[in-house]
Amino acid sequence: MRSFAFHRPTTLYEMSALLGGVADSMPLAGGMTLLPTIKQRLATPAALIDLSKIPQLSVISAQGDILTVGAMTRHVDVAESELVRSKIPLLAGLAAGIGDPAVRNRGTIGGSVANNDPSADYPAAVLALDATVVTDRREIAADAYFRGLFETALDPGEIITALRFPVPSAGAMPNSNRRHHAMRWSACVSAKQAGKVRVAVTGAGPGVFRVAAMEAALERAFTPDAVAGIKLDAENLSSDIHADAEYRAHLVTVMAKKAVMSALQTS
Amino acid sequence: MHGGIVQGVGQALYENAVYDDVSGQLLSGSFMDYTMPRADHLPNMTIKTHSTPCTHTPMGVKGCGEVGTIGSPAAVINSVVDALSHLGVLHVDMPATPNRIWRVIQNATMPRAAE
Repeated sequence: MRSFAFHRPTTLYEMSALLGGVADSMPLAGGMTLLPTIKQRLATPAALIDLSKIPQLSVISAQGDILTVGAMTRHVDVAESELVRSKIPLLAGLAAGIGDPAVRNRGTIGGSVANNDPSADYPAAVLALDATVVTDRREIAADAYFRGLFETALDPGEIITALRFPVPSAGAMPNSNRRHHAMRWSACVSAKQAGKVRVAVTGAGPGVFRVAAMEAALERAFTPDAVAGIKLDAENLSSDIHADAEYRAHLVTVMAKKAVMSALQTS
Repeated sequence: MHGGIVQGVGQALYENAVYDDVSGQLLSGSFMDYTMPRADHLPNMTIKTHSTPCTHTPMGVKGCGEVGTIGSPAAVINSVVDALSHLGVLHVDMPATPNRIWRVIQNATMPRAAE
């Protein structure tokens, strides 16, 4: 690991000044991806701007049917938040299932959404719940935000400050078997809001995506059987040493059925 | 004893050294990709002893730490094959990952038993 300067701003104003003013700097959220990347010398920033000491970035609040989670909120804090549990239990359950305790104690929701790892869990929830990505410059709808493998609508230097989730009438992300690998092969979030259903899949393709055929079927009948016959085309899915594309396509249907089943049980 | 058994179960179900066909690069080169068995992968075990003293060492002692490593892969894979025998499955490669078992089921030649 090369040496680098370390800055720890305590206000958004100070953060912006550092990000704009310090050459070759990178923002540091939980560091669950950035630090290993630096260790492997795949990234060699001259300076890290640590966002963890800016208080308003880790606030969880609710106003009416909108739950707002600050970008620097750690997974463990989302998992244990009474507010999140009462408003959107699937989000608390998702956070509780990320990585291991060490990762949940450091990793943040904003870091996960900014990184957009193809097997990350949060992007699926952000997309399925039709959340808004709030940055230091603007607000971006989830549908416009995710752009494929590690790609997002964020401009260089743009920082996520919060995620805004509308509270769904039903929704679930079932636990998938993670024993063989730290990453997910396929997981699915289904959420129902005002008669509209959104289904988002992570871990199966080069980025999180929605499944229109499943959404249409679930809007006609919100039952596991509605999606049982809908298979994704394996051609567009990922294949690696853990799971080939055909198996992933199979798992998407299985996980979608489970998601609907669990959404019906918890709503 | 537990460690030896778990090592064998790891070989049977989880641990997969995968090399790239072209470059020879090890693809499962970290514990992100190479699955070591963990405590929550296995149930509790009951160990029962069956003593057969060694005839040519002092006090009849012999090493037995890895004895479970010999038997457990065969026991696990045989039980996987047995579970799939109604499909005509006679062989499953180690490690028997979910993807492999799914493939074996997809490629099974015998029709599934009437449900």
